[in-house]
Amino acid sequence: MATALLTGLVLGSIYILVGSGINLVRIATGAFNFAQAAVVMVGAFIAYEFGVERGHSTLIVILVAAAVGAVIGVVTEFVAIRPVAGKGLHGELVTTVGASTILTGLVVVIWGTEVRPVAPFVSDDVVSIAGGRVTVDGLVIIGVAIATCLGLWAWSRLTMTGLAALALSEDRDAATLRGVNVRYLSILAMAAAGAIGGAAGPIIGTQTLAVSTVAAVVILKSFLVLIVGGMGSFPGLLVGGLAIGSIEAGTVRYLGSEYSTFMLFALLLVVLMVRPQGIFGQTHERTV
Amino acid sequence: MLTSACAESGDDAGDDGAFVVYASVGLSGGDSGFAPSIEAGIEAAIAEINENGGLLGREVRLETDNNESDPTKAVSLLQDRIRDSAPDLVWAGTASSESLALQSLTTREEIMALNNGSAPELGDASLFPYAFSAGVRLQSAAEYLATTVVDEGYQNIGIIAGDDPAGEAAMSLYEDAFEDAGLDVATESYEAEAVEVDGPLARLAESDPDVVIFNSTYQAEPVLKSRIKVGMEDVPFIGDVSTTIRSLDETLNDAEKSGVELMSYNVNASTADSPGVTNLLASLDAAGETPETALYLYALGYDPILAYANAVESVGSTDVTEVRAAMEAGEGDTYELSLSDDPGWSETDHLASGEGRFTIIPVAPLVAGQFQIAE
Repeated sequence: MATALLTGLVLGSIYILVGSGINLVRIATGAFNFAQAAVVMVGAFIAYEFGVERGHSTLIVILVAAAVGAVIGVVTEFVAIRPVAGKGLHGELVTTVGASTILTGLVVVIWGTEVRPVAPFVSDDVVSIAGGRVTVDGLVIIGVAIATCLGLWAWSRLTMTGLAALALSEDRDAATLRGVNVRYLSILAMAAAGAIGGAAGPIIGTQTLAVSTVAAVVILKSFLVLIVGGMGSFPGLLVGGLAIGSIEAGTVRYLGSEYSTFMLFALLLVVLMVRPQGIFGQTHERTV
Repeated sequence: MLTSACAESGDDAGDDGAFVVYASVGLSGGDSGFAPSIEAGIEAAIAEINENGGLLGREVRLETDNNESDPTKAVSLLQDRIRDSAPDLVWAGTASSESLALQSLTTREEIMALNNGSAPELGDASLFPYAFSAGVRLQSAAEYLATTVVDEGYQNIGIIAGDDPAGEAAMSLYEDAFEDAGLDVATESYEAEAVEVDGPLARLAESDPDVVIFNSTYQAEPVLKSRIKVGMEDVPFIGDVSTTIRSLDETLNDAEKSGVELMSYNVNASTADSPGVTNLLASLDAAGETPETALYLYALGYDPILAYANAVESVGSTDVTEVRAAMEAGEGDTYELSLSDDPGWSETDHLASGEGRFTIIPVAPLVAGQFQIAE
């Protein structure tokens, strides 16, 4: 039971780390960025290239991965989001999938389809906690996911930039009239989301290794977490991620892997029926 | 016109008198991970034949089409090729689905076709009398695993496989083979692309298996990493042949490798030093090709071409009926084969025999297509 719970918390933390970048962009630009998981994948391959192949320190690996992620984020903003933003059709749902496909293709060209090793972040030893077993790096992922969520929540509530982003997500036109620089904020959000995704790659890679298929595997469940938790809510992301991961691991452990997807989407259906805005999401009143 | 071209196939496919091998290969799409290795094996075999003076004195020329791993596209391309001029020999795709589609066409046109598929239908000589595969029936692999676990004295067997079609097919065959051998079997499946397999392994552990057989079409690492997390480090794990296409040596730590053995084709082990393996490695080296996947994939392309050449040289003709009979009888010894001395084709079954092809190896680094095993 305890091992299943710990496994679920690690899984959920992976979804949280991917979802945090998506949430950030969603708040600041209103766009859904399907390329975020691919940025995490690139970060994992950078961990292989710089950490395993070239032997650089973990700090250097994280910095390089974050920098590359930030660049990818900015390029994605200019190429895949800005041209279709604000046109009312959520065209970025398609264009960011395209960006994700291109990133995956580039990874295959550069590193191939083979699974590549990622060096342990702290340690890949297995430890016992409360009768359950988990790797030290698994615990690190849980800690980093919680810290990232809390940090982004604090940013969105306690800083001027964060409040401006929140204002944008509430009412884009009103925020613009109030002097919020929408373009600057969009670039900043995409760069930050890219950097978070890139930096998360070497940490998540300790569980997934560097493999070109990982983006497709985690993106769907990360979105599921966002919808259940409430799109744009960092507390919702945190609670939703840990809950979804635990339910997934518990289902696989006690019912079998064939029930996992069914259970998660049944939960999604229930949440959408009972609370369509998600557990921590907010509804916006509109006077007509 | 088509009839005319077919009637003359085998004699003058190349305008310059060359013997033309047409290869339909999935260089992009689903086969792209392994098809280049098979193509390199075909090229190595053809280079060896030409170095030896050609096929019955004719230079052998390879013409490759990328079928994009699409059976329909593969058939369309071959139809176009036959319309222009029928090739002397066809490499009928790099996946069973392509081979099945192409061989309907090559059988009708009475063109000899080779492939690397393992689908049982491909080996049915009554359906495809002029088609031969280097692929081995999964049944043979299952029987080898059953013999291995019986020899080791294991009674209670756990099987874990991905929920993809290949994993499910393997699990079903293994379960039948083990039960036929009088063993107790418990099975679990896992999401094929899962990043961890803790739950299914924990469920399997409840049956207290003496040994666990695992299959992995995508990546084996999650199974072996989860094995430690759920406390199964003392239970021996044996990976089936799907786990020796690439090396797990760099992606697992020492604890994860301990107690793990993998089923491999003999040719993949560095201890394999038959003349055929040596020739294959030399041919690849001469072509500047350094194997990045297990050598077996290269051998899948290499052996059928050379077996065909052996048969042609032995009967002194490229007549499909005569060559077919010679291939079924394993005639000819001009060229050494790498997978085994004799593919084991029969009058009724044109899939290769699994006899003597497998071995059990530890997790080891893969260098130039071979796992580096201590003598």
